[in-house]
Amino acid sequence: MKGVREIKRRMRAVANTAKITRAMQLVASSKMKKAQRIAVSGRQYILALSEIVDCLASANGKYIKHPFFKKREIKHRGVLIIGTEKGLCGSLNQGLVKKIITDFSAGNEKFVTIGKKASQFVSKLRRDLLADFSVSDRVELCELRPVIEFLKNAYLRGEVDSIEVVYSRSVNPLTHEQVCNKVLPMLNLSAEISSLKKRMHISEEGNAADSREVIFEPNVQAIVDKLSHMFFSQSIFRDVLEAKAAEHSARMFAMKNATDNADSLSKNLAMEYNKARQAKITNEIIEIAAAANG
Amino acid sequence: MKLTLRVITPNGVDFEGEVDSVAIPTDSGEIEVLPDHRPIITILIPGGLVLKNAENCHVYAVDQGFARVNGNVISIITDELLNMDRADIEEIERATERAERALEEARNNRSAMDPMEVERLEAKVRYQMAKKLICKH
Repeated sequence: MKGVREIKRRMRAVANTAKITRAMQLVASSKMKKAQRIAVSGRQYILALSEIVDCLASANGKYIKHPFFKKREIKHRGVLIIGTEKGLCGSLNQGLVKKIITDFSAGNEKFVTIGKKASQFVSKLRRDLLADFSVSDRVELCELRPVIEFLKNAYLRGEVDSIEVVYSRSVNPLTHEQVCNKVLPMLNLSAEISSLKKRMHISEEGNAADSREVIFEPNVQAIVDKLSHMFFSQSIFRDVLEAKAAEHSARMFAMKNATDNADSLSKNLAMEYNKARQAKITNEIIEIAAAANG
Repeated sequence: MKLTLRVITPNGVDFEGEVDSVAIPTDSGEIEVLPDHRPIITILIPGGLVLKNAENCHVYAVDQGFARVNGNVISIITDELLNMDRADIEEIERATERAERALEEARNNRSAMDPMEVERLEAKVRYQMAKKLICKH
C-alpha cells in the first residue's frame, strides 16, 4: 500500500484540477448561452435571405450575369473549415478531421481555415492550405471581412470553383454533427432552406407559395448586385456563429466530464487514504502490544 | 382580408402582426401593399414603414434591406427597426450627429479606413437621416 503522505499529495493535486475544470465549465456555459442566443436569433434572417436568393435563381437563373450565380466546371473546390482556437473541447475537432478525410480526399481541394486547431490539422494532413485566419470568441461581422474578401477574390479569380463551409454545429447540447454548407455558386438552395426550416421547427408547407409570377423591382440585376455579396457574407457569418455555439457547448460538456472524473477520483483517493491511515494505526497498536507482551 | 407583416432583422423577428395595408419605402419609390398584391421582391431603402389598420396607423423606421410579398405574407428584411411612436427625438438627433462625425472622420483618413467601413457608416447616416425626417412629420 502506498504511503499516506503520497496519497495526500495526489488528493490535493486532483482537487486543484477539479477546481480549474469547474471554473472552465462555468465560463464555457455562460459563453455558450450567449453564443447560442445569437446563433438562434439570426436564423430567421438568413432563412428569409436564402428564400429570396432561391426565388431569384429559380425564376431567372439563366439570365443572371453574376459570377456567384454561374455554374462552372469544378476544377478546384474551395473549402473553408471553421475549427476552434483552443483545444479542450471534446471530439469537436476530431470530427472535422474525420469529415475531411471521408469527404474531401479527391486531391482537388484548397483549404482556408478559421481557428488555430483547424490550420494545424489541415497542415498535418498535408493538404493545400491557402490561408488561415482567426477570430475572437465574440465574433462580429466586421471581424470576418478579411476571410470573406479572401474567399470572394479566390472565387472571382478562378483559383477555386466552389466555396463550401465545413463546421460542426450542435444537434442538442450533447451531440454535434459536422456539416458542409455549399455557399458558392448560389444554386440549388432548396436543400439548405429545408434543413434550416427543420432546425427551426417550421413546417415546409407553412405558407404556400404564390404561384403568380414574381416581379423584381427595380430589376433582377439590381437586386442580384445588392444581394449577392450580402448573402455571401451573411452565410459565412451565420456558419461561424453556429460553430462558435457548438464549440462552447462542447467545451462545457468536456469540462463537466473532467470535473466529474476528478470528483470520483478524489472520492476513491479518500477511501484509499483512510484505509492506509487505518492500516498504519493497526500496525502501531500491534507493535505496542507486542512490545508490552515481550 | 388581412396581411401578415413580418420584419426580420439579424436579431430575429422584430415585428409580426396583421395589418390592412402597408407602405414600404423602396428603391423605386414608396409602394403601398394591399391584400392580394402580386408577388414582388424589391430593394428596401432607409425610410418609414407605415402600417395601416382600420382604427390606427403606426410608423416604423427601417434601415436598408429587402422586401418580399408572397401571397398575403410580407417579409421585410432589414438591419434595424424602430417604432417611431416610442422614439425619442433628441436621442435620434444626437445619434445622427454621432454617425455624421464618425463618417467625417472616416472620410478624412480614407487611407487608413477600408472602403467597406466607410460605406457602412454612410448607410448608418442615411438611416439616421430617415429617422429624423419621419420624426419631423
